[in-house]
Amino acid sequence: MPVDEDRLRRAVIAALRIKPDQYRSDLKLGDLDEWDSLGHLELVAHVEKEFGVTVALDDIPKLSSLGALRSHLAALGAGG
Amino acid sequence: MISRDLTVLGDTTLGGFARELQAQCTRAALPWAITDGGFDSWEREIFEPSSATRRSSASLAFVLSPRLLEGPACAQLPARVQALLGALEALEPKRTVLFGTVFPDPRRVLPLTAAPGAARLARSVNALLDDFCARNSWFYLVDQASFALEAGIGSLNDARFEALGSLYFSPTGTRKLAAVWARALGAITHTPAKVLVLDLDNTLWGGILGEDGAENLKMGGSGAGFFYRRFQHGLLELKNSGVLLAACSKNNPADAQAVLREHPDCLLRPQDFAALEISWEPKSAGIRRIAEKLRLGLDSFVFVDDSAFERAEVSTALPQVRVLEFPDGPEGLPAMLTQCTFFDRLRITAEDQARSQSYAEEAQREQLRSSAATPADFYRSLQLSARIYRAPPEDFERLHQLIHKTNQFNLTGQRLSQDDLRALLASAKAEVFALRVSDRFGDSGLTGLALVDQADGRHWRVSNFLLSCRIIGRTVENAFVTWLAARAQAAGAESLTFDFAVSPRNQVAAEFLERSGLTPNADRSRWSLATDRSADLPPHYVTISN
Repeated sequence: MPVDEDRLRRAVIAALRIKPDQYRSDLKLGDLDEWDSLGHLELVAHVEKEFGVTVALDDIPKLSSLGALRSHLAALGAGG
Repeated sequence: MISRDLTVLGDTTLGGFARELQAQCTRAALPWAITDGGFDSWEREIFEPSSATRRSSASLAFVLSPRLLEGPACAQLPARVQALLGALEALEPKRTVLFGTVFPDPRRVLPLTAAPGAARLARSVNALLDDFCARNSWFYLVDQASFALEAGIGSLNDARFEALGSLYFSPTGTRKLAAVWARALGAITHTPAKVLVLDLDNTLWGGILGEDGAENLKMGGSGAGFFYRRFQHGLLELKNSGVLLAACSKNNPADAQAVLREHPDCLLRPQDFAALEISWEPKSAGIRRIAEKLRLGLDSFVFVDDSAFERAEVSTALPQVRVLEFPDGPEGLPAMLTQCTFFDRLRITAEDQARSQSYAEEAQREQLRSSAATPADFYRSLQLSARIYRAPPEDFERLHQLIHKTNQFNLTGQRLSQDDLRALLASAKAEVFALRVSDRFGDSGLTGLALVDQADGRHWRVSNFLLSCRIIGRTVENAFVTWLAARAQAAGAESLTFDFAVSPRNQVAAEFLERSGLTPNADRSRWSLATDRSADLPPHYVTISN
C-alpha cells in the first residue's frame, strides 16, 4: 500500500519547521539545515505520531531519506 | 532592563528545546530571541571566562535533566550547583537567570531505595535554588519539578532518542516542557493584571440568589458545590498573591451582601473584596465604578461571568477589560483559573501579599475622611507616622518595582535599570532614601523614594522623587520634602533641588510642585529650596523617625 503523501508532507514540514515550498518528495538528511541529526529525531517522532507506528532503535538512523522513510512505513503496514 | 535574548544551558541536547521555545514565544508574540548554549553547557559556559555566553549579555535559562541525579557522581550535584550559583552571583553586570527546578526519574533499578534517594537529592538541590532565589531578585525559578509530576515522566522521555542524540526530553516532552518555559517568560515580560471582577450567581456560587434563595446556593459539600468551593479556594490564593478581587452582580445589594457575610459555605467574605458593585445597572458601569474607586486602569482588569450576554456587554463597552472564556460546567471552574495566564508572576513580593489588605484599609480611611470636619482633623486622626532611611540592598526588589510602576506621583518618569539602581545604592556620591508609612489603619510598607545626587555637597539634587498613589493626599509628600531639607542642611548643603519632567501621566506630581513651597526655575524643570528656609514649607501631620 503506498504511503499517504499528504500526511508525510505534513509531518515533515511540522517536524523540521520548514516552509511548504522547501518541501520536496526526495529530501534526505543534510539537504536542509533543518534536517540535521537533531531534526532527524524530531522527524521520526512526528512521523511515528502521524502514522501511529513505532520505529525500532536500529532503524531510526537508516531512515535518512524520504524514500527510505516511505518504504519503511509501507513495510510497517502504515501506508494509508 | 531584562535582556530579551535568552541562552538555554543544560546537561543534555537542548537544540530542539531552544527551537521549540522560540516557536512558542513567536506564536504568543513574546519578544524573546532564544539561543542554544550547546550540549552539556551548563557549567562550561559559566566557568569558562571566554565562553560565548559570558561574552554576551543574554538572560540565561538552566534546564537540567534527571540524568544529573543518577550515576556514581550524583552526590556531588548539590556542590556543583552551589558553585554555579556562586559564579552567577559574581557575574557583573548581573544577568537575568531562570533556573528550572530539578526532578528525579523514578524508573530505577531497586526502585524502593534508588528512587527515594534520587528524590532526596533533588530536594536538596531545589532547597539551594529556593534559598538563592529568595536572596537574589534577578534569579527566578521555573517549577519543572511540578510540571514533571503533572505530565508524567514517561511522557517526557523516550530512551531511543536519548540513546541516539543525548536527548533526555523527547520531541513530545520538549513541546510540553517548552510550554512551561514560555509561560514563565510571559510572566516576566508582561505586567500582571491587578483586578479580578467576579459575577456572583452561577459564577461564585451555584444557583441564582433571587430565585433559589440563599439556603439553596451551592458552594460546598458534594456535587456541583464542590467545584464552586474549589473555585473560591483558588480565588483566595489569587488574592493572597496580590490580585484584588471585586464582585459585580445584578442582585439586591442587601441580599447578596448577607450571603457573603453569613452563608456558612461561602469562603469569600466581604472583606476579601476590594470593591462590591451590586446593583441592576449594566456590568460595564459597575466595572467602571470599581476602576474609579481603586484608581486603577481598566487594562488591568479581568472579568468572569457565566452569562454570555454580560461578557459581550462588557467586552463591547470596555474593550480594555480582558474577559475570560467561561467553562461549560462548574467542573471547569478551577481549570479556568489555573490556565489563566493574566495574573502570572514568577515571584511574589511582601507588598503583593499585603495589597488586598491595604485596599481594605484605604476604604476605612475614606470613611474617616468623609466624616472629618476639616482636612487637618482628618490627617491628625489618622495618626500618621513615617520612617525615612537610607535604603539597604534588601529593599532593592521593592524599590525597582516602585520605580517601574509609579506613574502619577513620579517627578521625572525616569525608569532606572536594575544595574543603574544597584550602582546608585552602592554609590558614595548618591543616596537612595526610602519611605515607609503607617497610620492607625495599617502599614502601607515601602511606598516612596528619593534618589539624591550629592556629587556637589553644597547643592543636593533629587534626580527622582516618587510616591505610590496609595499614600498621596495625606501630607506625607510634604513631610518627605521637609525631612530631606533637614537632612541636607545637617550635611552642610545649602540647597535642595528636585528635577521635574512632564510625562503623560504625572499631572499629580506637577500639581504637588505647585503647592510644595519649592521655587521653580524658568522652564519649571527644577524646583529648589534653600535648606534654611524649610519653615516656609507647607505643614504636615506625620511623625517621622529614621
